[in-house]
Amino acid sequence: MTDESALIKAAASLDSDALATIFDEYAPAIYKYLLRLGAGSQEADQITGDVFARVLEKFSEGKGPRKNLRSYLFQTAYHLIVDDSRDRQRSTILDVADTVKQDLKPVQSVTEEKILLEKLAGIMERELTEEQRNVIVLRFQEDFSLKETAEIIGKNVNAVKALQNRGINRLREAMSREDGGE
Amino acid sequence: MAPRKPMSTKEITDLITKLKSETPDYPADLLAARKAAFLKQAVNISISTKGGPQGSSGGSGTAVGGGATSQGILLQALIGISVVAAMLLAAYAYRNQNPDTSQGNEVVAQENSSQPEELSSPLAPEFVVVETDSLLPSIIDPSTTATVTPGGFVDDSDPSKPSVAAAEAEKTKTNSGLHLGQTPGTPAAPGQGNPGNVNKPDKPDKPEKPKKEK
Repeated sequence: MTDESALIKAAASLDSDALATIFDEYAPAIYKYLLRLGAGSQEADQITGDVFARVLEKFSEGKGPRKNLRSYLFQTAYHLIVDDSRDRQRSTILDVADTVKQDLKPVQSVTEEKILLEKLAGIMERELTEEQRNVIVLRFQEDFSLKETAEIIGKNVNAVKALQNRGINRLREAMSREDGGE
Repeated sequence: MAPRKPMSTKEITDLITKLKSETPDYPADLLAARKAAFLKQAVNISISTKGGPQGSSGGSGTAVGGGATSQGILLQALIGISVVAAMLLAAYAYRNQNPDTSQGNEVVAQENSSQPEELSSPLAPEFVVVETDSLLPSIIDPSTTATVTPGGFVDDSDPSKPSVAAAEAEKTKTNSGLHLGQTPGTPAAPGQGNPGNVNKPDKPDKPEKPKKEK
């Protein structure tokens, strides 16, 4: 924690080494988070650059985070992708499912679990609302706490709990429905 | 084949967690390019903030800038005061030299007043040429006198009548309030138009146009 504070302090004074350390540590995670929220690879790359540019801007103004830099970066990324998705009318909604499909191993080694994962990725894209998907990604894929998730999406903890429960229930129902349909 | 049991919440969350590993990594070339751009942007911002009056050292920079601004205002005020003082000194010196210049003006005025006769303007002073009997040819009746004005006006009148120039001189002495070159008009009769300006003559009545017969 002290290390993070020192790192943030050095980055706030625009120290190149501290900024490079922050970028190396968080840029890949931000990129993956954006892919999981439905961004395409180019869009995720662009928004990742925008996230760090915004942080630089805040630091140069004497603002920006003083603690919990990771939450701050994810929050900035979330706001940017929400704005971007509103502009693009969610044209890349199925990119994550497609990406997951592309990254799956060849058919010979496909196991039952891989099939389930592929199905789950598709259901997450189709069945969940934007907020539900974001909460589930932050909670179970990015390992944020309820409080941190609430800060990132700008809601209280109870709202995050409700979004999480509704999202999981909808996923479970959809998975059971698809299994029964097979 | 019997339908599978509905998945529990734990199974769903486990699957979601496993799905995490399926997300592709940031391509190395894109990541390197983004990092280079980010660090370059940081260097640019650092240069601009340290070079300008704002930024991380903005407190002192702003204070220095504010001091410089107040000094500039003081300097401008001093320059303005010195310019006004210089103008006042110049005016005072000019005031001391004023008698010399006024004498020079008088000389110029005298020089100018020595040549009024050369002007052919109607504003120039009129002069009268009176031809005496000895100079007249025998054809001309000696009882007549010709008065010649510079404008070419010849007044054949009784010599006992004062000349136009003399009349003008008398009018000037009485100072009727007219401007130079303004001729007095006939005062309007009481009850007629234009009572405010007695010098301006009333316009003569326009002759009635004969109506055209259709």
